[in-house]
Amino acid sequence: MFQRLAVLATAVILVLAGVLLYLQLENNGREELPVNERLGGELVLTDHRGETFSTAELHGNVVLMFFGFTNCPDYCPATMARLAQAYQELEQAGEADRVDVVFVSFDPERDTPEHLREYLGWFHDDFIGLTGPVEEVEQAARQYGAVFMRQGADDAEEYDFAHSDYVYLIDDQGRVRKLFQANPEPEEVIADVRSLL
Amino acid sequence: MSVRCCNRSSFCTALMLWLLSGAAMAQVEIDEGWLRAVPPVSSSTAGYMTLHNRGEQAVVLTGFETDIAEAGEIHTWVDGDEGTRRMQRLTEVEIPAGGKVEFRSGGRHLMLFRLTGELEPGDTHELCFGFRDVESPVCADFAVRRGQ
Repeated sequence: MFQRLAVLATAVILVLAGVLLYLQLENNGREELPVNERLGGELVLTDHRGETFSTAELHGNVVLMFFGFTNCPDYCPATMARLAQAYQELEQAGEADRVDVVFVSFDPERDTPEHLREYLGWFHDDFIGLTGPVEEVEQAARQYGAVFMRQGADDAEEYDFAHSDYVYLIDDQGRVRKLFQANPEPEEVIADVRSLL
Repeated sequence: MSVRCCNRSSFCTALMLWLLSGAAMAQVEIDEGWLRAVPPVSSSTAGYMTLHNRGEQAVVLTGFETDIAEAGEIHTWVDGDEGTRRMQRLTEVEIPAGGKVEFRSGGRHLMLFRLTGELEPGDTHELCFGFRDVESPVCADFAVRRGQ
């Protein structure tokens, strides 16, 4: 009789432990995001105020970074709108102080600092724009595995880019932790950002 | 109306075209048309919609015009080199009989180049679509949205 009670008690304890473990995993909701060792690193470019800016200044914050160009009519504004929505929700929750959104333009010819300031300010005043001479932007893109190729004649007034379209999630130590496909769901972005805060 | 009648009179030909236009206008429906609000410094934007063909004949979209942009084109996204994506112009899009074609972000979409004014969320702008062998355009109001 005593042995049966002991077995029963052990079984109950094991079940409870399993339930507790499950609940804890449910609460955390996510596995830890892996560190991407191949991509990333400090970028030193010109920001939307026309000043030299190092992304090392953002260490301590979680960063969402996107490479694009302001004349891009579909993916870029759609992605920036989603990042703005995610940022606003984090702002309402009092968490945006620890988050930065960075737009790196690979079209310095048209995306001057002033142009970037007006473009990004429409999405959110806090957003940071970066650009620079083509060689520097190319180097920045290489560091992050971003690809852009100008389409059309070099002297064409209207030109376009074929480009990759990832959003990079970077942790407070400047390490890439996730690549979102273009147009990420704001809920997914918020959840992943929060997992790094 | 007979073919013999139309052989005899250019008026009959015009009438036939007009009737065909009317038929196309009646069979094409534009649903959920919207334009992406973009920062005032942007010179282009994109539009989206679902195009239904309620008729028994396929129709072919060939382009569109609007007062809010100096040029309108139909584009889609295609995979490029090294994991890139790029836009490609489409000169026509067929909507099968009884079918529909969606225009959405990341897929087929309408390109509006050289905007003539700001796109304020809440405003509406008319877009008029041309179809092959159809004289009259099919027009619809597109709402401006801060969409994703």
